[in-house]
Amino acid sequence: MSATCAVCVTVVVRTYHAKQEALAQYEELRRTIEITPSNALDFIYSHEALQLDASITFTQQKGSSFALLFYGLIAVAAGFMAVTAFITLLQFGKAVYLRGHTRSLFNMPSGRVTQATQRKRDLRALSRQVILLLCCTFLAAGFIVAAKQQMEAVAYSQRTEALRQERKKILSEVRSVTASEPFDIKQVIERNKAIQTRYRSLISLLKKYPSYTSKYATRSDDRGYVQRVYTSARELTDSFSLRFPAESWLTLLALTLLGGILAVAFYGLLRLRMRSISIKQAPGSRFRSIVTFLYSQKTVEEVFDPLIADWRFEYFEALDQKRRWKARWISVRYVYSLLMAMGLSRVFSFFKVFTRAGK
Amino acid sequence: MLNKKSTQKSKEVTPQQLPLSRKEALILEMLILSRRELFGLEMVKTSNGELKRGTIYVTLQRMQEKGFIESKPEPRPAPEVGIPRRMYWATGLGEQVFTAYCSPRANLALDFVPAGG
Repeated sequence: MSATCAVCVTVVVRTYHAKQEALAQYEELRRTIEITPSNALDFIYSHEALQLDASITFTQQKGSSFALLFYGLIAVAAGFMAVTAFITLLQFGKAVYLRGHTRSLFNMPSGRVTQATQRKRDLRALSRQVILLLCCTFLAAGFIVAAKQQMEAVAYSQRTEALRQERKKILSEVRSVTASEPFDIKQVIERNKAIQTRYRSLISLLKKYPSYTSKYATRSDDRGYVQRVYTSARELTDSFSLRFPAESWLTLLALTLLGGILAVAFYGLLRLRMRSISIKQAPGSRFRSIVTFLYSQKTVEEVFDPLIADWRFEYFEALDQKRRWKARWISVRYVYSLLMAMGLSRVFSFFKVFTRAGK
Repeated sequence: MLNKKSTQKSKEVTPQQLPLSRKEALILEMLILSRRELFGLEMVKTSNGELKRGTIYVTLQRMQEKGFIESKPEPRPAPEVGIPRRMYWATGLGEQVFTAYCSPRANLALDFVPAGG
């Protein structure tokens, strides 16, 4: 669980930083364009258009990100529930069939009371599976958030690049206009204010009544710009009503499938767990095979066998008292003791050989 | 054979120079005083931390080689399987060495202790 959390948090934080960095670059560039002194009408148009686009797109993305996460979790849960329901129905059908079949086989009257079979649910296994499922869901959700943030970071980078190009173009235009014509700064400022007021009111109107677009779009001088504002306003309206684009629907579909896969894995593991009877080796078995390979039979019999026998004696004594943790601790202690004995035996055997050689 | 070997050493030997370490003496003491066969684990538990699980069997093996103690696997009833624990008891030589170790006149022990351990 902790490992899952660590992975998730690391990935999410990293992608969050990447996104923030891209956003900061974008904002910085946008600010640079804003504070660049301009006196050409084209610059104001472009600047205004960029500003509107940026703010609208950002709002739309923010809303959509949270919505996608929310709907993504619902999709995973829905997939899981759907598979659960399917499996339950399947089991129910199987049980009904088997019941009827058994009755027909043994010709048992339906009212006869048979000896009840006691079935015990393994709660520990169930809790482990639940934890596993939670981990998987958490991991999947974390990765979705991370992927979304990464995509946003890439989108911001692309937009930053577009802004750079735009700035380059505008600056060249400004240079050419400034070189050719004299300008009136007051007129430009007034024009700028007028544009801002006008398009703000237009956006608010379009948000309420999108059908007004055609009316505004008929004006030839502003047609292109009104069309752009309409598109942005439409996107904004869509984001408020939590409508997703086609790729988001695909994501949700994929998440539903993921939920289904998780459910299949969960029930498969549960089934395996319920069927399997685990037979464990007595503690020290592996160690014994290792020391049998490394040391002489005499040493194994006189040093390691009694130690392993003591280990098992204490271990099973603790298990008899229902003290599982004590049993585990005993195992840890005996592993250490065995390692010590292995080291000491080697040292003594070395000295023995050495002294015999000396004689 | 023991006397032949022991006569090779003529100089005085202090109790600390006897071929008996502190741990070995402790083990011998426990085996002699209990007057019965003991398991290694029992000795570890009785020693109050002086003997360790990881080292006691190596020491016991060494003492067995010296002839101070003897051992045999624990007898078990038929259905029980697995590795048997080992029971240890002190030999006559072990008792004599321990007595010599405890005696104030340590050089008396030379008559009973094989030279070179």
